[in-house]
Amino acid sequence: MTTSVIHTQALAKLYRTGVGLHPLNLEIKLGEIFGFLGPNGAGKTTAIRTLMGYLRPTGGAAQVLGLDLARHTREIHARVGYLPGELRLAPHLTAQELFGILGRLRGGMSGRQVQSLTERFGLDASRPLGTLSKGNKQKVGLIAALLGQPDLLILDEPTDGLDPLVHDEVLQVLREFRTEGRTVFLSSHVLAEVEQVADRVGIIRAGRLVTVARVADLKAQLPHRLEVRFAHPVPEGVFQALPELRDVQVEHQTLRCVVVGEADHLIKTLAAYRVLEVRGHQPSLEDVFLSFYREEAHVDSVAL
Amino acid sequence: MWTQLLFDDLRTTRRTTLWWMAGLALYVAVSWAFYPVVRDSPDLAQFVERLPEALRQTFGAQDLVSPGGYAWARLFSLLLPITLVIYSIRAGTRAVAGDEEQGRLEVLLAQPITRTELLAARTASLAANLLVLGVGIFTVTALGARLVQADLDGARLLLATAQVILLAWALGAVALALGTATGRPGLASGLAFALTLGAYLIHSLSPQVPALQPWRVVSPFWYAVGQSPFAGPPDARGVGVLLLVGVVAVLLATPAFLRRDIGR
Ligand SMILES: Nc1ncnc2c1ncn2[C@@H]1O[C@H](COP(=O)(O)OP(=O)(O)OP(=O)(O)O)[C@@H](O)[C@H]1O
Ligand SMILES: [Mg+2]
Repeated sequence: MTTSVIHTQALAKLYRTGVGLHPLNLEIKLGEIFGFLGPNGAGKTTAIRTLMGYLRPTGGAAQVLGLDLARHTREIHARVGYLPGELRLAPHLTAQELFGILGRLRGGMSGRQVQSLTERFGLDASRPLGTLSKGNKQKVGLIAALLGQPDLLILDEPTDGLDPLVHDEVLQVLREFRTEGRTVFLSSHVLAEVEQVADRVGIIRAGRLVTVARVADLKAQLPHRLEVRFAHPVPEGVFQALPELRDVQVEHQTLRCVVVGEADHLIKTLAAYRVLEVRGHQPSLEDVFLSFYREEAHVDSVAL
Repeated sequence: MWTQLLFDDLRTTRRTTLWWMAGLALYVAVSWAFYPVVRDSPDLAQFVERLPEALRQTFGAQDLVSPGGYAWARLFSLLLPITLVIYSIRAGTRAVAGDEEQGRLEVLLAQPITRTELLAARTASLAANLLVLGVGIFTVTALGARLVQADLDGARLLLATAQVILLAWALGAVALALGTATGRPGLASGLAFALTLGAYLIHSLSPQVPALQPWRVVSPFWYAVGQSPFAGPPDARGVGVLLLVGVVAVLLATPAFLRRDIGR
């Protein structure tokens, strides 16, 4: 019994232009929601379509649900639900007809599941797909991916085009999916949503995986912005001397700074003065994300 | 599983096929409606008699007056085959490459089906649609002939229909194969039409141009409309050749389809 649901060994898909996906080593574990983040053109769709068997890898290997990608595409697809990044649906079909077709190909689906999902997402399944708005088409794609209780969901930008209410509903569905012991691999540029649902994130830039981390760890590494108000004016030099402080500003009785790493020194230094108030800013993952997007892949270079 | 894919594709394509069928049936019916006028006009018969032999052959107009001669000249020698080839190349191009370019294969291929099954289903769907058109053409032609008291030989009509349908099959399958191997619908239909025009040129010029005579056997038109099935000894060998050409084309494209990327 394997606990890794997706496992790649130097899986690569390089186009002739030299861009695409550079050798990727990644392990997604059973029962987690993994967020795959990166700027436009980073290679998220390329990685996902290679994992789906649409793109033939230029190197490496991958196992999905313990099955070799190159040889068992059919068996893998029987247990994977997929939402393409660019969803195109036959315009003359209705959602109901599409679900019927896909259900038959999957060897049966439960009408009750379709019913409950269309109700949750507020989708009118009787209209031709060609007449649906972008967000409603996206709902159709999501329901299609969820049909037949797959063990793994591979979603390329699942919340693209959804309004905030449906967006939250979708994230809720993904959480429930995880509760049932299933696994989700989703790509996104919207950090807020990944932060809300993902256990771990991988950040990809220019075709290379820059980092893989637990969301909680990423947050813990974040620099904290701190504002301390004293009862009396304090000397600036004392705080500038502390190595773990950045951006130190002292104005009258107020110290503003960014703490990177351990806070021990700072606390001990503060103990010498009478402190009226300490205020910290909630660290935002957005900032980590942006720092990875930009040149240096270091959390501590984040300017707040 | 591929039969399910076949049914789904037939459902998608049936409306288009029925419209083409309606157009073809109308053409056949109207042609028969004018048959009595042609048959009873002695001037026309004499006029054709007086045409130079080469011209008569080119237009398939050796004999416009007998039911078989009329059916050959008006329907089976040129207009039906050309129309069917156009239908078939369009359908064959859409079958894989067209749907792929539209992004329609993305959700489909995420289901537990293989590329081979998809190709088999789409190929069978093209064949089934052509079969429907064939049955329709046969029926409307036979009915039309009966309504104007033209005594058309059923077996010869069947052969004529099979020949034009299999011509369309061969060229449509070539378009399907090109699209499947490359994923490019423009290239597939463009090349298939170019091939059709080239083949037709060889076929239509070879009676007059001796240098082209030995080449006429490479033209699918030779096997489909090389000679009228309504005159002389019937020969069904051409039908077999055309069937084979289509099947081999699709088989040859399969390895490339399995190797390449889907949807670029
Ligand atoms: N068929 C192709 N031939 C050549 N280059 C390609 C091809 N398809 C994609 N690319 C390139 O590969 C890189 C990765 O593209 P990809 O679509 O995977 O990015 P992405 O991370 O999904 O971006 P987005 O967030 O915009 O969806 C891009 O630079 C893109 O231009
Ligand atoms: Mg993408």
